[in-house]
Amino acid sequence: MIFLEASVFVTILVGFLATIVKKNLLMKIVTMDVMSTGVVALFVVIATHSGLVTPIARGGSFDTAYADPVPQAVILTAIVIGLSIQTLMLVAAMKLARDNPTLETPEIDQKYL
Amino acid sequence: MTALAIAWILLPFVAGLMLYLLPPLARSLTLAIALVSLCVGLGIIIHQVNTSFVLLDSFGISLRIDPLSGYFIVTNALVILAALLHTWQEGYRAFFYVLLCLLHGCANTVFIAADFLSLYVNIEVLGIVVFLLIAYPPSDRSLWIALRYLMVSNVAMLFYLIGVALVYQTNHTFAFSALMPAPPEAVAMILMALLAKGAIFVSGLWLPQTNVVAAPIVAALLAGIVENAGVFSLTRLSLLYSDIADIVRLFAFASIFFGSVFALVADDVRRMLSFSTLGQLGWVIIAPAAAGLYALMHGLAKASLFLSVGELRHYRLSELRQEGLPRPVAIALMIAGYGIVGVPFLAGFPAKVLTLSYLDPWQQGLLYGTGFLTATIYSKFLFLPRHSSKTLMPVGYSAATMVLLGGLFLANAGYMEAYSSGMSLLRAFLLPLVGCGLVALGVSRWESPWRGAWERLEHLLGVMLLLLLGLMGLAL
Repeated sequence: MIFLEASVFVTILVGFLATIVKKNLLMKIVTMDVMSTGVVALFVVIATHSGLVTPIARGGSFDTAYADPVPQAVILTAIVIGLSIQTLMLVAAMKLARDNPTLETPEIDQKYL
Repeated sequence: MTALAIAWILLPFVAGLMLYLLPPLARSLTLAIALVSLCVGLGIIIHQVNTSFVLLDSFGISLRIDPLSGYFIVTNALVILAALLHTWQEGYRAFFYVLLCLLHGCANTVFIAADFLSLYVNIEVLGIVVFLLIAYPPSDRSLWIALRYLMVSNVAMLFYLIGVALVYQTNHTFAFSALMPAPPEAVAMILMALLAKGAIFVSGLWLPQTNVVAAPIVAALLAGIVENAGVFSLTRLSLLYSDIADIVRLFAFASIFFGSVFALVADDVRRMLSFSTLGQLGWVIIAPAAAGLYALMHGLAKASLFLSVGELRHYRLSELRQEGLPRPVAIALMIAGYGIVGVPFLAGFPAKVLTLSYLDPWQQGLLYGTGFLTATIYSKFLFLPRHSSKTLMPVGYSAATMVLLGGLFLANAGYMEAYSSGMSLLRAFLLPLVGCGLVALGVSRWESPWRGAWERLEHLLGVMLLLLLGLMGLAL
């Protein structure tokens, strides 16, 4: 379990550092998605602290160790928002690519700042 | 009460989506929404409403309405109203008004949210709306600036989400009031994200270039609504926890000095105003109990400044000194500018007196000192040559400025007691005098076209990491 949590944080950190290190705009957008995947995974891992069984009542006893449904429900919202932001950014990158075919962010920054 | 509050939150969203289907009604619907919110905000302030309610089960999804939110809501409504009047005859598409309504709705919800989750959703939607607003004029430059904004804000909000996850893990609720038993890294991540969204200190460096590239109307919306939404939760958290208030105050001081100094050396009038915004937002969060009045004053004044600057044909101060500016614009710039400086009879004066009254004497001294910097920045407008314009100012611009400056004057009512102290009146009159003196001595020669590398995308992201480490140190 601790191993799982550690790898989630590593994913987040790698994603974040890559958004800084990678020069290409598309790579930046993709690495941001890696980071966001890490955050989603963190919520899922936190949900399993109380148990692993899917939280659907199957009649009978309620003492089963259910996974916490709240973080999972919450992260669904974040996934949707993340998806729409990702889409918007990709569309913007597509439009920018017409005049900046390489999409290297230092060059674009130099040009437009 | 609960049902009314929810209906009022939903109203802008429903109207926003509906007016896309009924484009001829776009402007009148937006007007109605702004007026409703104005009444709601004023009602909250006048009746000193102070209530909070839990919406859902035991996860802390709750709302809190108090006079602090009232002030922010009034600012929000007035700035939307001004934006609407400004664009009334300019033939903007219905899509623009959809964005205005959504912006208004998200900001309103941020101002009454009392849990991390509602805050997250609304700030994220606000980010998307701002992206669309900045990218509204179709050019690659505005698209890039919008993209940069969205990237910075989304990465910040991912850190925020990690913080929220850790808060939930500790005490199984999302309420603001459950932050403290959470580990310090959660506090650091949430604060870092809010500082970046609210444009405080170095994490606000996305702002200057955004204001240069975005349309003046969008710059006004940013200054009047979006940044207020970013800093609002900082004031809420400061009011709840004194530990957080100390950290926030530290950043507020840093932001005030940083913003004022860089505003003084900026050569572009829009960059000057943006850096001054950084400083003024520091003032908003430095004394959370007085934040409402200050945010109202700053939102109205800065929105009016950006709208006025939008009427100019040159933006470099050196060019403005040669070409001059139309008299009505110059007058609006001076009134709004000296409003921020804190000249009596405008809301800046009571707002500053109220803010200072919550601070220790040495802090008051420091802040009063930075007041001279602010006064110097805005005294530059006084020294620009003026000429009477041959053509009349657009009606929309005049109406919007009337609303904003009228609000700036009427907001004096928020703290009339300020005028009973002769000492602070005297000090307030000293500020513009010294400011004018410094400008006359030639402070303007320090203006430089320098653009720091720290405004590039990588650096904006990297600064977050540094801030995060710093905040973790402070929170531990």
